[in-house]
Amino acid sequence: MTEKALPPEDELVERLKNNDVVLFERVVKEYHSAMFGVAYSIAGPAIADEVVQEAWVSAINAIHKFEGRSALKSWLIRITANEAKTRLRKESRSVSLEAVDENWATDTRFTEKGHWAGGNPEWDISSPDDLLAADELQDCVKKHMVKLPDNQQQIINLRDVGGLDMDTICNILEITASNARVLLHRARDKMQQVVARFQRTGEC
Amino acid sequence: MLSCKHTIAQGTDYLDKELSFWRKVEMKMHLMICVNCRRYVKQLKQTVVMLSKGQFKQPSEQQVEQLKKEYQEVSSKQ
Repeated sequence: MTEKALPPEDELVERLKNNDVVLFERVVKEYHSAMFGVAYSIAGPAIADEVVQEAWVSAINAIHKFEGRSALKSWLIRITANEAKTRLRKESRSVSLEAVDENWATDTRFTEKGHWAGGNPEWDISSPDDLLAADELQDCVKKHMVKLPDNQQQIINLRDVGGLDMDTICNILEITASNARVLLHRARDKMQQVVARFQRTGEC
Repeated sequence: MLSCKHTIAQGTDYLDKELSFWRKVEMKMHLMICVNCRRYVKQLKQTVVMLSKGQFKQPSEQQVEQLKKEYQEVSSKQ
């Protein structure tokens, strides 16, 4: 989180078009993390930094043409995703949707009849701000985000970290809306479980 | 009645308002009587908000300086 919120969108874009380098630095620090998540999930760890750097350079060169039809952040995320796609990693750890169905049968959280096996306890740390302030928990989240299968990692980064809408995401990833929804839920569900386990056991 | 397992599988569609009318009714009825699933839906939402605000990777000083330089060069030509 940054100390100070960025100015409203209109003002932000106007000032960026007019050589406000102090504001530019704040924008870089605010949005870099989300762009990195997207680059990492699509292009892989080895070139993620490079992809983000190239995305920023493309954005710098195009900012005077930016018309504000989407939020600045969405625009930056789209540029990053497109940059990353041109350098898509070759080896893929994607898990097919069929494999996801197999997990359904072996989910130990539930009894055979589909009831919670051991209940679902309330979280001690529960507000998003408190969750973000817990450093060990954040390290744990980060560690497990990159362990998600590629397609789940891509979608949760584009949607929840990057804030894009589902139509845009389906276009970028060239998947159907229903597959996208299944993948997004599997990814979110996994991250909920990571946070839940950390809160219950203190372990990552 | 929906099982807990089926209920939480619809958690994302519920939060993103993608459920059809009857599915939503069915889910709300389950949530009314099931504290575990109610907690799950709340926790799923907290997880999403946390991810949207999280800062997982800060740029290095060197990256920032390089980009500032690039920005100033391009801006001065506009």
